[in-house]
Amino acid sequence: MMNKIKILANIFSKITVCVLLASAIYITVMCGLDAQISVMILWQILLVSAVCSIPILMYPDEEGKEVSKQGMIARQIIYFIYVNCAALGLGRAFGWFYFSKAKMVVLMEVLIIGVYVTVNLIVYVNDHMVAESMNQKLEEMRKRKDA
Amino acid sequence: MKITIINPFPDEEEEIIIKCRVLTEDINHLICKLKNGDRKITGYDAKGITLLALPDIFYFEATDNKVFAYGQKNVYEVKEKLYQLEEQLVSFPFMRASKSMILNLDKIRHLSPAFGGRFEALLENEEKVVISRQYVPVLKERLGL
Repeated sequence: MMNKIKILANIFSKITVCVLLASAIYITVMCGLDAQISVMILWQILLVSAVCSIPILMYPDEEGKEVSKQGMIARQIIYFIYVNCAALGLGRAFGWFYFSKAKMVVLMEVLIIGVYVTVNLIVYVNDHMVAESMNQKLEEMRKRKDA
Repeated sequence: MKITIINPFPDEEEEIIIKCRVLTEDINHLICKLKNGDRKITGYDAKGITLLALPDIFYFEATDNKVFAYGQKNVYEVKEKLYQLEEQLVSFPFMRASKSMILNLDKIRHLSPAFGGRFEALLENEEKVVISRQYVPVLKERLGL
């Protein structure tokens, strides 16, 4: 349970930072740098980030069944569709954009994809660094055995 | 390192004393080997029974209620359950990599990240196996990270 909360908090923080950045870009493009915005938008950003973080729990844990590579790819696709629906749905509900304005919809979609890709990239880069440090240790172990 | 061999007195028990400032992993392995000897596992295949040396086993995998030991090219069924192997091999370079696999760390050539926080291990025989996310912290600990 604690492990799940840890994973959730980790992904929530990454998503929140990226959503904040995406919101800054969106507001700047749509309303300009001098736009006046309500404090409510900060809570909306947190809510969107929280809602987009929840599906991380569909990935396997200690008690869960092992998932195949195809299963993991399917989960990634489902996650992406979910994020799109959640971000567009909540964004529309909060009045961030209107479906009748194509420019707004396109920019929202571009930013959603951008956030999704960025968060995945951060996770991948972090895992890559962990893998490299483990490979280094494996190399040291091999050298000790050969010596 | 100085090695000294002393003949014990006739009524004295044979003993191995290790003097070290720090108990390193290498010394631990040596102690395990002295305690357990060259441990072998009984493997079964179509040809009959084979005694498998642990260093020759790449990984154990449980499938259809059976446990198999995978070597360089051969596969043998073993009678032990995965959890039994996990207990028996605790002092050897084997670790649980997933719910259905125990992996020989000495056979890992390279690690790389995979989908969903998992890691992929490229083994010495060019085979690729997946290390589940929940066992990555164990792997890091075993590697001293």
